[in-house]
Amino acid sequence: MDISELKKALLNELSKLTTVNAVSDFEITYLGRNGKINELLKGIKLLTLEQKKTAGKDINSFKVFVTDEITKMKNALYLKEEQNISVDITLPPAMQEPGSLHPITIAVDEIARIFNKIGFIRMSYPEVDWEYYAFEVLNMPITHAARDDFETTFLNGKPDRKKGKMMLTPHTSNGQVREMERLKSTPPIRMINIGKCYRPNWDATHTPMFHQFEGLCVDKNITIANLKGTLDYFVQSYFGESTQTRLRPHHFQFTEPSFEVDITCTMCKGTALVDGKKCKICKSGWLELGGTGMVHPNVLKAGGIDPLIYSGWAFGFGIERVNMMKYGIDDIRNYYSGDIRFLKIF
Amino acid sequence: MNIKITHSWLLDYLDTDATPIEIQKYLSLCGPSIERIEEVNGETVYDIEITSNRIDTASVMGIAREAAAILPMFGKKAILKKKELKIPYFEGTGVPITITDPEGVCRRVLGIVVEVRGVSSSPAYISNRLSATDMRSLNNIVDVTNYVMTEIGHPTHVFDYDRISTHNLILRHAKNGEEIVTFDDKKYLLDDKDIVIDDGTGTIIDLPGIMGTANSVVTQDTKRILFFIESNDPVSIRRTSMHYGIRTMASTINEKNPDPNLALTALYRGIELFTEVADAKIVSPLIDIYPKKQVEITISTSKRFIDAKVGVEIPLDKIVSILTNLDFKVEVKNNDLLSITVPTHRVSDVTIPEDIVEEVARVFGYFAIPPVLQPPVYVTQPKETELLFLYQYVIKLFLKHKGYSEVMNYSAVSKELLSQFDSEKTEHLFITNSISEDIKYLRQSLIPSLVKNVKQNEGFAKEIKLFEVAKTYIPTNSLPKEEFKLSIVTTVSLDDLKSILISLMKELNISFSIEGGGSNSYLLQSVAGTISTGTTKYGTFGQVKPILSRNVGVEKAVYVAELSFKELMNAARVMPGYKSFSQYAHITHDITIKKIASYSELKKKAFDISNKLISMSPISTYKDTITLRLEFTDHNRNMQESEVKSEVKKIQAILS
Repeated sequence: MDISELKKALLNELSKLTTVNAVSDFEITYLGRNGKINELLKGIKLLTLEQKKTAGKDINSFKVFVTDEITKMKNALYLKEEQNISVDITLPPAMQEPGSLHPITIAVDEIARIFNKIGFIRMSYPEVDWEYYAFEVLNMPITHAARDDFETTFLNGKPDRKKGKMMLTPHTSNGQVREMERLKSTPPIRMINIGKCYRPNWDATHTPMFHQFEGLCVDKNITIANLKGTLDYFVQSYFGESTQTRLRPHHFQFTEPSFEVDITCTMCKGTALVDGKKCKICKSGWLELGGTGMVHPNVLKAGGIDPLIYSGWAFGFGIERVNMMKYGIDDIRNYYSGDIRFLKIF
Repeated sequence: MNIKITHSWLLDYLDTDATPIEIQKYLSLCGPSIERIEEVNGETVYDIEITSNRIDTASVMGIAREAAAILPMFGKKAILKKKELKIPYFEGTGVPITITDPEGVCRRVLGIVVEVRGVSSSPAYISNRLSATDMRSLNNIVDVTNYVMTEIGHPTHVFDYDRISTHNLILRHAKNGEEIVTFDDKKYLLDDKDIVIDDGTGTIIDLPGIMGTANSVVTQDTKRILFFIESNDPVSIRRTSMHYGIRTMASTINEKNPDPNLALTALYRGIELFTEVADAKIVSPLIDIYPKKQVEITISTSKRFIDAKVGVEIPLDKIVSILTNLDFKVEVKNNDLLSITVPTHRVSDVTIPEDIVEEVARVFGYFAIPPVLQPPVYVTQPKETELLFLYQYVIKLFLKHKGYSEVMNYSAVSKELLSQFDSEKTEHLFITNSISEDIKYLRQSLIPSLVKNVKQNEGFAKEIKLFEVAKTYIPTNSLPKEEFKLSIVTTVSLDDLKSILISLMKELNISFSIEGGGSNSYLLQSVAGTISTGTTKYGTFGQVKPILSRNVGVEKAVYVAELSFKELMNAARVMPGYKSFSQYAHITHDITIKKIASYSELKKKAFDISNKLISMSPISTYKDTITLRLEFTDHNRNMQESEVKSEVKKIQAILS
């Protein structure tokens, strides 16, 4: 048996093959049950004892050779196949048209999660409510000029003898005394009330429907320092860690003292300058976030809570406004226009 | 409200080394917000927001007083220049003049007759200051009234004394239907809640505190004036000025309850100016009807209370100096108790200890209070509320991932849209003072808005796929029932809508069935279905009646679903009910039968009869037959072929 001849023949045949499949078929002709290797092995029994010894060894080494060569050949062909694969990886595939969430939904979720972490539960209170909850209990009797600040959308529903006219709430603050009532006038209270509000303004910067989020915290020993701590926490979580807040004196009937909150401008970071020019967003380095204050004792009393034992803070901010400040979504009329070109952005 | 004052005017009352920029910055942090500084005709003008409780700051004098208390906290010199105002003593009876308030409609009435040299233009400094602060300079006499209002903070008025021929002024309530003509020549019909001035003959000569009338105001020929200042009832002023829409600066101030004691200051300052600009000579005694004098009040509180509300300790001497600089008088007992006398110009605003906290804290500086989060506590959230927000987000996110866009429409729609949907006869709550007919009727279904969205977007997208989660408002005897609905609209196909609904129910792990028909009057009865579990109905879906969608201008088929959010969230589960899977073989068998009922009914019957059936799906339909693929298994062992055959036979029997 001339092994070297066999090897030569094998290499010759292998070299003619061009595909992995052909090599696999070829493999069977050598290594299969009826393949050449087995045939050689069958021939052994015809040999002398002396010849058997070397023939066995030769056949085994030949088998190893065959296996190795076939593997080598296959790998070479695989490599060649892989090298031949060519796609434009940047070509967009066929796709389902993506859907979208409304930008208010995105903001509401983000805000609710931030407050949830410090133990504030999210609540939902009526959008159609009595004057009683929207004004009266908020220290705004019917004759009060402060009601001017909340132009009101009234409904034709039958007025309640005690609670006054039926209206669409101009703010989420109607939830304040409602939450006190829900908790049977027993603090602690930690609430975020997010909802739709309505005021009869319709121009470039106002829509007759908008969203507010209302924070209310009532407990023993709640201080202005606590309000500042909460505002800082929220503002840094929502707008970024370097954002600063400041309180300015203001007046709301349902808080005492009352403040307006400003935050450092998200565009110029409070410097009032962008590339050496006056910042177009804020002009002064600060942006107004909204109104806040310490809950007025009359509001606590209206909710059945003793202001000598408890104190609290409250705020009400516009969601469209924080979206504008954070994401620059400036034309708020798009929010409720139903225009799919706007909705698809988000 | 906003007021404007000039820097030079402010310096008449304030000795300071602070620049306008510093004044803006420090006052805004601790007092009134100075929103803007403008340069007008060489004057530096402050545009200041005055909150409704601080009408005492709506003047040059008021701002100077705030500045004198605030600027020293920032190391700036600021001393209030208090003017010594007095008028010449008048002897004798003077010209005839009677002013009476028999019904007691005013808190204070001041009047004095003054002879003037003639009506001409004002000196330059007066007309400059007026025009820089957005007031029209008219003549030397009228200008003084506006000038005094801005400088002192109390509205004033002048009559032409000789045009009131009776020389008699009676303050009274108007009669229903009484007519007046204001000096801007507008006519109003009054009612018995308005307050007027009668000249004794029944003729009205003024709408006090709001606007003068044409028959009594100063003209070019005026020789003698009645300088008249009254403190009105703020509620009445507000009512009348809102009722007739007469919004003047005077009414805006008067409805916020300015200090009646300020009226006399304004009168003195007015006389001083009339003397300067028109050689004024007093020709009558001063009439001052002031039955119930505004007095100072006293508030008792303590340093401990202030510290407890602020959350940081403020030294006692600082508390005292802040309050003293704001014209409060402070008595301290035991280094803690404070007895604070509130000046009359602050009594309408500062009434309770919390108001004192505000005064101290704002001037101390809110910026000087450290931020400290309150300790966390646990508050129970109602389970229903928790689920509402959880599933709102789950469902919205799911629909977004399925290619649908979330839309938010106004909660109210137009009558036109309701009638396009044949719903104008249904009782809806509506807005009585709506600013637009487009948003008047509170929605009871989201479908009309969504179909309108389809129309609106026709040009912008080939296929429309939208959803909305919003409240609907169902009228009751009291407040409406506010129910969240989930509504979906698509123009793709009924199957597209169905597949969304089915996968949504799967996402929420709700087992459900679909039946034909439903109670939704917007849907084509033959292409309508109801999704339910037992007796719980989640809602309906199908094709909008073409006549309705065509009413909105949509020609192609529109498919919608409207589901009750509450029912969905109550049935939803985070985890599906667990049943172990069968270890044994699943055997599939197809049957073709005559379709004698809806697919849902066939399916229900099949599952009821065979407990080995684990799934059924339609393969194809042909004429009146349907081919179904049935899948069987047994949880305890492999099924024999004969067993499968007997199950199939049972099913075939029940479905025929």
